[in-house]
Amino acid sequence: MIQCPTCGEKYRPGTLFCSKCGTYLPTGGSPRTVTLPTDRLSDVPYTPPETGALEKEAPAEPRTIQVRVIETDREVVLPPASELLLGRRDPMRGIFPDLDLTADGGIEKGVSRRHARILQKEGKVFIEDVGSANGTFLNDQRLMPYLPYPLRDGDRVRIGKLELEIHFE
Amino acid sequence: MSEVPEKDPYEILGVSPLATQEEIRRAYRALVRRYHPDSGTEEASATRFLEIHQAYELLSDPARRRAYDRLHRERRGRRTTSFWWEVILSRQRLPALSEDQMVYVLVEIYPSKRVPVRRVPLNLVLVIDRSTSMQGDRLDYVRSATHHIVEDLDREDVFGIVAFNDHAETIVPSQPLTNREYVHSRISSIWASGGTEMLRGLLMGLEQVRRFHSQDRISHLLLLTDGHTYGDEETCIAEARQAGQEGIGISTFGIGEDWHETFLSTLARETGGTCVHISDPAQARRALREMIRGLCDIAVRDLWLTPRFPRQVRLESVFRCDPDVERLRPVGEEINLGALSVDAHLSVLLEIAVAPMPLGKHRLMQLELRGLLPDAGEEDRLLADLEIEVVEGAEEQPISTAIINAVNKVNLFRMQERAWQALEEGRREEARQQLEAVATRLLDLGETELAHAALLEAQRVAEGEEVSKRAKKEIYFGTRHLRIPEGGK
Repeated sequence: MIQCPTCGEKYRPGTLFCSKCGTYLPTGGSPRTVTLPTDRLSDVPYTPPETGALEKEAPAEPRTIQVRVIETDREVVLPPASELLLGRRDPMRGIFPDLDLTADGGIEKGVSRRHARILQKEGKVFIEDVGSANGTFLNDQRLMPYLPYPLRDGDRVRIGKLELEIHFE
Repeated sequence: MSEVPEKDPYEILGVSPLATQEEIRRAYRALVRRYHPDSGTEEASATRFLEIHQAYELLSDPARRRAYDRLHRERRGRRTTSFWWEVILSRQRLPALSEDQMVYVLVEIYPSKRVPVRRVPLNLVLVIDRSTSMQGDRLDYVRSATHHIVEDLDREDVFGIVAFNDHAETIVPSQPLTNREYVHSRISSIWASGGTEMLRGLLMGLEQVRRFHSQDRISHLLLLTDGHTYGDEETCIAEARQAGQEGIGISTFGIGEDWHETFLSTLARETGGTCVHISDPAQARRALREMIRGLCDIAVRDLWLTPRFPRQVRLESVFRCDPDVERLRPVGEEINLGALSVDAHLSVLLEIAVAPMPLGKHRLMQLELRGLLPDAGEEDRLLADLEIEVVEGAEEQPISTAIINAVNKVNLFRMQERAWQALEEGRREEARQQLEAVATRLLDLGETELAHAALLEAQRVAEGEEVSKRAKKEIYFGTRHLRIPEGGK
């Protein structure tokens, strides 16, 4: 028998997925994001988003977003799209983020494959954590998952432990 | 599954079927440079890249390439059949172990291009639940949908209506649609009262279908209900199974949230049909219309898959995984797959346990697929012999993306099944964990809304609340219809 590394269920050799927790057994679930030690990440309390964040304004075309990965000093210009995914590329699972942070040490820094989204609505830019394992932080405040928070030009966003600086006109 | 994956891996890599391994590798490298999503070229495309990668995966493995060539030759020689298939194994070489091992076999079935798109006359019977709970909106919308069906059908089609509560009544005996006025006036006479005894409605409906059931018509029963039936489920399923063997299809439509999803799904799948959830009664018309349109587009009907195994090999379970996930139950050794639509495709996943076997090549199974052309009694048949090889210390083999996607899909369905089962048996903590695991997997797949629904239910379970029936149906049907991104065909 083989054992699921995540939950310990036993299966016949050759089984592909754990039917209890969903782990892909051949790789022992390694494409999953490793939960980082809780040294400080989870000590940061959640903050509610600013009110009026989603108020209507004149619709505008999506803007071009520039992201600088502080650690590696990599600058990426993201296309003007109303929704951009930040995470780690995983073709096996069909995940192709617009900003792939694998090359910036994404795995070690606790970046989930689907980590956060940059949204543009009615001319405003928002960031939303999409239920990542290690959280998304805006200017050192932890974001509530699935709630869009308004972004300002020059804001610092932390994806797990990876610092990003975000610019747009 | 947007494109018909009739693509030839040789064609994808742009090499001849006689190409050497070196030529294949060179072609692959050149294409990767061009199409890799990170290549920065204008042609970069994730789908194209995966397609190339998969073609290479297949052709770079001599055993898989040989198997493909063999199957392909067979297919080419059989270009005259009304359907064709692709059979993929999760692995062809197994290590020699002293315990049972798991092998997955994916059978993908497509209609051939040459199938004439000629509409075959239908033999339809609508079985309508008219118990008290249907009163108001529900019955109004169903009646209105029925009026529309009558207008949509052709003159050669045969149509009948049965309504049931504690007893059943033939509202319109099956007949060619020559007097639509009469049918319309009868539809307006359906009123709601009483309880739900489905068996009576089903039996009377089947009686009407059988009156005109013949080889040159598509016979189908459409059952609409909004509630539970009590005590006659088993008999209903046995009746459905019998109908399936006669070549009569059954589709079930559950309106609202108070019906039993497993029961209605089982009823339909016994005939190879589908179960549809109508959460808002206003959708009844669209749901029925889509189903009937599908029946008009049938390319092959009475599809039966028969796997035959040597003594050391055992079938663990069978699932349909495309167009939706459904657990299938063999009748004897045959599996009823129902009908195949002109522009659709059907996938079946077999989970197989292989007992310890000596080193060397062994027969894994024989697969037979039979089907009828919709308008004539003509039967087509495909046959394949699958082999595996038991070797000492088998090396890591690449697994086809199609298999991974199919197993992933089926597994998610299973995970949520486990959650509901745990809940039913009062193991609430386990149910909660299981629902959270489902949510995590759904998030991995980018299914944010469904994941949310699952998380909310997990929370309800944790707080000792009742699970919302609506959410349960959303998750149950949502996980069956997942669009797992295809790794290119």
